[in-house]
Amino acid sequence: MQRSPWKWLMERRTEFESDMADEISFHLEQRIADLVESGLTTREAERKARIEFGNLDAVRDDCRATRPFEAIALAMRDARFSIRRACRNPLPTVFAAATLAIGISAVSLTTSLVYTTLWKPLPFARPDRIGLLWAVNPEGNTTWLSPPEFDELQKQLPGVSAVEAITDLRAQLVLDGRGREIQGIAVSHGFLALLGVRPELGRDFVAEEDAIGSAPTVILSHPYWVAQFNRDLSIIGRTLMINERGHTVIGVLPQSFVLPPASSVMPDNIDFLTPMQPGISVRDRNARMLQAFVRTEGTFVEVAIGLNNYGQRVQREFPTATRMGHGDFAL
Amino acid sequence: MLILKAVSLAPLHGYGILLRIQQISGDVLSVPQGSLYPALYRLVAQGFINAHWGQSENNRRARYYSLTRRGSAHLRKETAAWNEMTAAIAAALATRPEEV
Repeated sequence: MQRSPWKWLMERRTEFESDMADEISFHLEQRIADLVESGLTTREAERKARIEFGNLDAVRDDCRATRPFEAIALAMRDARFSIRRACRNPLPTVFAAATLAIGISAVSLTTSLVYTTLWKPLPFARPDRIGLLWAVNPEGNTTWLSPPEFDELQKQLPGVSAVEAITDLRAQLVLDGRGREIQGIAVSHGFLALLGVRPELGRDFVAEEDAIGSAPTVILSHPYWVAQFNRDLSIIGRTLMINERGHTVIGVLPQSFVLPPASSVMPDNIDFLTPMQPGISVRDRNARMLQAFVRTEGTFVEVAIGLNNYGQRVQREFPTATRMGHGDFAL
Repeated sequence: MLILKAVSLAPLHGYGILLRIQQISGDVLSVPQGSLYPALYRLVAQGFINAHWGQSENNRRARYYSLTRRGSAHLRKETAAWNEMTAAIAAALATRPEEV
């Protein structure tokens, strides 16, 4: 008949206990006999032998601790004891379990909320190096940049590795003869590179595509590609009619892509990105339509100094224009 | 080390080991009785000594311990290390000022 491991373990344990008891009682008997022989009464000898031996329970525990699997056997004994107690009087157990359950769920809820809202790193390369560029209007409020300001800053702001900008763009897409409104953003061609984001499919925009008069191109967002085109890999190279112009699809964004949390005015979910310049020919210094980003390997203080110098120069050259400043750089 | 040495001379029961250590150390060393058994059980678990039941000198059932081959090797190693250590300490203590 097959014996269960538990039964086997228990039998070994009983054997161990009885052997240990035998061995210790043999020891004490021998010691008592020797002490009696040396002239003590039996009573005195028994007493002295017990004193010399020390605490019997402690010795037994020390011996048990040398057995292999002792820790497991102890844990199983504790578990059995706990289950028996819980069956006999379940109320305190239920109460303790409920307290623990409430505590654990509260902590995990808080942790997941805090993680998603505060701790979760932005899906960009070195997000601590990315900042926002703002203009400051005469009332002292931060506002967006105009296209001429952006062009000038992109060319001459010292201490930065990139200045890029985006603007909100709602468009009409005609697909299979049906028109629908889609939400996009127009970006300067280095915007994804500034964030350190690469398209999951296809490629990023190049400078030539971000020039007035160039052939329009588009990068689709991952959710839109999934929902509208069912993850069709042959989407790259297809032409989509957006605002009555054929746009060549050159890429699909990664699933993790989110817009930098820059401005509440920017849409949360976007369907596509397209280069800015082919569509935007506004040269008005007061057309505040661009949200600009900066990446620096230096400090934001250097960037701020460069911006203030630029602002003073603009004010001298265009006294009626809005003066430049910087807002909160942190994303 | 002393327990291994005691059982290397002849198989002994626990009480016998206690007496043997006293005897071979010229009554200088005595093992606290309570700590002898956990030490013996640990040595058995480590495979340095074997335990088997036998008859004592007064015909009582007693557990005897004997040295295993592994225990014998361990004892040699420990003895060499001990000798090296005591020699080093003795040499250090015997140093005279002119030798420095």
